[in-house]
Amino acid sequence: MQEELFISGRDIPNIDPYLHVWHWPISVYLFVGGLAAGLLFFAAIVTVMGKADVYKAAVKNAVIIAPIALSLGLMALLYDLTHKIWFWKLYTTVRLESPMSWGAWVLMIITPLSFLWVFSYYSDVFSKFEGKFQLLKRFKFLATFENFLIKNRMNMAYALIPLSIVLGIYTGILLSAFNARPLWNNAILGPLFLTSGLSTAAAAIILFAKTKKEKHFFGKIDIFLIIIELGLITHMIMGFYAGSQVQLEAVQLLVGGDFTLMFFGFVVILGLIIPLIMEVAEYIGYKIPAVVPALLVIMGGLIFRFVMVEAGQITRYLY
Amino acid sequence: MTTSRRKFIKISALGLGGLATVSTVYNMFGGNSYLDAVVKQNIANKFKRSATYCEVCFWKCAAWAYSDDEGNIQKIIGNDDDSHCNGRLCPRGTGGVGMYSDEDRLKTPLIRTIIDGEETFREASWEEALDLIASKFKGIKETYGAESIALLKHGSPGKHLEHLFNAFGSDTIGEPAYAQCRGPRETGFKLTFGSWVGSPEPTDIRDTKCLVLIGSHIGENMHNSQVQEMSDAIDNGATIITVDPRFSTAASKSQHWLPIKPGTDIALMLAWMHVLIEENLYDKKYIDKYALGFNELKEHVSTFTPEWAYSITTIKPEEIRRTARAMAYASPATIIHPGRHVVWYGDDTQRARAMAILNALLGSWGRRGGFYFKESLKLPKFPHPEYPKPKWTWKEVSSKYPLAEMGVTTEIIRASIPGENDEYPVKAWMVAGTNLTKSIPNKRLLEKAIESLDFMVVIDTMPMDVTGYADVVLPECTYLERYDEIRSATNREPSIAIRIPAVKPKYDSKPAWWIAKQIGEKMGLADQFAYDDYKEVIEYQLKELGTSLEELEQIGVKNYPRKSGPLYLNENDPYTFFTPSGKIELYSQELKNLGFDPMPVFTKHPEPEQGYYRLNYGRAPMHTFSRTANNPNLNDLMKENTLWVNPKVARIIGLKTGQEVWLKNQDEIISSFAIKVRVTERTGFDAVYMVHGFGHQNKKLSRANGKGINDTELISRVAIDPIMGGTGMRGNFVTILTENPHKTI
Amino acid sequence: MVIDTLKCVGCSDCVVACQTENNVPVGYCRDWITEIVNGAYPNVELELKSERCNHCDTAPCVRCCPTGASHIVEGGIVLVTGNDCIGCGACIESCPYDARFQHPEGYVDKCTFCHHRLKDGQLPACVSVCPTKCMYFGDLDNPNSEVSQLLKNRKHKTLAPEAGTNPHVFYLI
Repeated sequence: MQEELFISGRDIPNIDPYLHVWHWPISVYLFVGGLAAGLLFFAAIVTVMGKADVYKAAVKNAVIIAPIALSLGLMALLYDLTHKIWFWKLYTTVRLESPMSWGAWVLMIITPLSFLWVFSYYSDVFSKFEGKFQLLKRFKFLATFENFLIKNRMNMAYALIPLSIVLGIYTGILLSAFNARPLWNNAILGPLFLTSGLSTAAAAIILFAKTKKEKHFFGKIDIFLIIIELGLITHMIMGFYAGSQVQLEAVQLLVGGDFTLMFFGFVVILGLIIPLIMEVAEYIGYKIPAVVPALLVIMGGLIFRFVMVEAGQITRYLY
Repeated sequence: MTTSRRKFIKISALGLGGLATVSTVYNMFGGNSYLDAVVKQNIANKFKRSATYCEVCFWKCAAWAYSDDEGNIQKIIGNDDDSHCNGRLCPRGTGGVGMYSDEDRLKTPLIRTIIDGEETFREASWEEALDLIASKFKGIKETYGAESIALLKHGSPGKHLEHLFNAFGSDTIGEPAYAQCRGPRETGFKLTFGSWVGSPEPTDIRDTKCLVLIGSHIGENMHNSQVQEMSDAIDNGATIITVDPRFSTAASKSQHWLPIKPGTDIALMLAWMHVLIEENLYDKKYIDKYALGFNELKEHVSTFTPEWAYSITTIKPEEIRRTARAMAYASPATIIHPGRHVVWYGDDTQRARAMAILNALLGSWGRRGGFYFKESLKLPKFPHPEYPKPKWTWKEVSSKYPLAEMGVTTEIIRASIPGENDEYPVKAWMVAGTNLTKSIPNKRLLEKAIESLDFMVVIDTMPMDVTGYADVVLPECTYLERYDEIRSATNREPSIAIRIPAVKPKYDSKPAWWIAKQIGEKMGLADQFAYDDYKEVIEYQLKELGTSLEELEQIGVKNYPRKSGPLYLNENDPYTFFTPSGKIELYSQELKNLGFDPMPVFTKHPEPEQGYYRLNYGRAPMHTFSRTANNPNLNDLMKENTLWVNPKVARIIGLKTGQEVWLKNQDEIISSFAIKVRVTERTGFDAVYMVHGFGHQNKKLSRANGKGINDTELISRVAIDPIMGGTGMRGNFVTILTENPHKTI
Repeated sequence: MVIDTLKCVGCSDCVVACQTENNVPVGYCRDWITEIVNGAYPNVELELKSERCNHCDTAPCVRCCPTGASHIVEGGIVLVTGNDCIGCGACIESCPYDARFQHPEGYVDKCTFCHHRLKDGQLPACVSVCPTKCMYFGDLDNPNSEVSQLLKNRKHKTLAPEAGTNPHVFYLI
């Protein structure tokens, strides 16, 4: 029998016996990051393709969540920092090799942009609110600003497409860049998180959609995305099984380990397969409340992030 | 323009002050590490360096203690000129800062009292505590005689109290380090070579070609210079042979590991002697010149063949022969290491004799790579009136053991029980620097003795378990806060080292010399303490030695040239050993006259029955017995001991690593606490192993209380060595309980 | 740094010395001792060694630090500037040796090869205190230095070479 142990009493908080430096704020942030990226992507691409008045929810309603989500995510990130007072140092340098630096800068750009996008629909979406408070009437510069934004909406859309894709992929690349954590260190995680983010965004849009056409359209998109996501997950797990010793041990956490129930039960079955079946059924013609699969997909996305962050930190190269 | 000093101070103070204000602002925001570094840099050059020698264990390495203005000790670094450590302290020495900063330290004198019907301690002033002690001692002296007050001691504080005891007429002094530790080997080697092994052992490990460790676990015991020299020996390609039922760290670095069955070492050694003699591998010239009794030995071991030993020790005969030949090939640069804690099975003096005889056959005593002749400097005595002559001393108390050369602590303890030894009754104890509950086996005897005492004083730095039994507890300051005797230990070259306080004593603790002086004065013995500060004694002694306190404060250690002759035997000169015959006694007439075996024989010792495992214990390099269990730095390295269990045994009982179990010994004694299991291939099937010094019961030890098991409480069966009274402690067997036996249903 | 596992006894002196030299709070450590036991009684093998940050050539912690607080200085030593560190934990996640930890004051801490002592010509605290003298420290670029000679003459290994970090701490086996 082999023994590997520390004999100098090493028991560092959050590092031993298993690494646990990143807690729920990071999982939440990855989730909202993907969600917001997806929402902004759909909003932008619908606008660019000229179908803004057809798919209204995508462009105006659901996308309100984006800036809220991004702000929540940023607050979660700030909460997780242990040396908070120096957070501004993130923006004193651009480090191309560090995905975290990429993320900091992309967020820096996309968050205000998402606020601007939502503000450009202010009089449209918040007409009741405006009726009461008359902000535009009182602050003339706001009205001019809104008009400016409405005129430049196409430009914003063009900007948002690449930015949102980068944001979506970055949440995955962030994890895959850590070669010390075998569960994360594979190239599929980036596209997988992007797909997951887009799929949760599509689900969110379904929730907000008012027209049947929009619901069906995004239902189809969601089906498409879920199938891709299932494919990527399969690919990822097969990749682990074909990998080195540490990767084999890593995948055992997900398959036949502590996280099997969470992963297969909540993420794959409840979060992907069942919504898929329900949406296909709805597509075929059965009557199924669209809310249910949408919520399941969103929940699945959130739990997926939690599982990856928690399980990934447990996997390691040594001991 | 001249910058007057006052102006200069003002400016730099402003600078620092300015930094300080900014730093408090930063502190509010939680980001002041950079400023910390700047301020520290300013102070870094202001660390004061004081000479001292370490007291965490008995090796007494000379060191420098670095302290700052606020009375914090930053670090302790070894003195480069000291042969005990060569500038490198062991982990306990480096962790000595924790001994000073431990907030669980004893802070004030405590006196036992009864509050609300409960026995407890109350804080008292030094005046009150010392008065009480002096009056009690005077009372016992008048009623029974000063001899009835016993001193059980260890380390530097013991020296001061020994002076006090001798001054008021008592020589009933003992230290557990003799009868509970190295006593048998001193007697065994003295009978053979005429001199004690001593401390540190005069083993020439750095030049040896073959090191044989029988039960000694160098590397887990952190005998500083020996570990360093063993490392040198490994670099030189020396052969290491380890005889140990457990795969110790030393065994992992050995070319030969003999996993011997516990209790059978003498058989192995007799077989080795047989091989050396029969195959003519012994050092003939050496034996012819220096030894006596060879023919008797040859006849004695003629039947002890390796095949005979195989059936007893489970070591294959080829292995016995192979290792004997390896030892002979390297001789005279071969060391059969005498070990240190040798009180195992009750025939330990004989086992030490066997080791000594083997060394003699290999010709290693007094040869390079074997044992050198050690020398120490004799310290001049600070003048004091002659001590009164006591009517009886430790000699009479230990008289049952004819060859005991120091007080046998267990006999002193027994004499405290009325009816056990009415000729030499002991009525009061002073315990200084030793945690009796962890060093003395047979807890029932110990507690019975303590119950019968009229008075008990304990002097310690920490609230160790033994303080719970005392009538008066006196807080001593640590070695970093006091003056002590000049260290003059035996080594290749004589040397002296001084200890000066690096910082002031913390809380209300006081040095042992002050305690001794106060008690002495209160007992009317002021003329024995003709100094106000122990510093004067040191100054006097250093002046007599041709140096001064100022010089030693600068260098810490001073080495002197040898005066007693060469390190090793000279081929051409004769040499007289300090034995009755003047030669190395392979056959001991002295033992024969006393009715013991003149040459070692193998006796079978009790073995564990089914379901029981022999309790083996040892050391860890980051702890010194129980002394350091609560030290914050060292506790961080090892918080508790674990029970080493072989995987096959674990499978039978159903144990997993990390599981908590309790132990019950053959006399139905159950351990107070639980211990975590470590399932490991490093131990055999018939024994379990744990590190000694844990399982503290005193709740005031916030870190050590309740962690691990105290192996001493499970040692109830004691095999006493009839020759010198050593208490053999390795004959206890335990069974493992997986359910908590203390839970009442 | 070169460490001889044949001489290390696992005494943990390097751990305590580092703590007292660098004011590492109790409960945290910049270096530690590992023990690996192989085989079955009585054919057992034991390896003891002292581990710490390996000051890698292609340090993933330096690569992924978003503020540049983790950086490499002359000599190949990886250091963390406390007040550039935001405590995001990315470097801790990226170290295959789990050598970094979050200091209670907020920034990320680890072994610095006692950089402040090297400037005065002293050795790192752990190397200078080790009682078995099993730790060696020197210039790997100098072919005549003790460390280079040791690597030339003895079998050695590094930890987790498959992680691709090119560590600078070598273990003689």
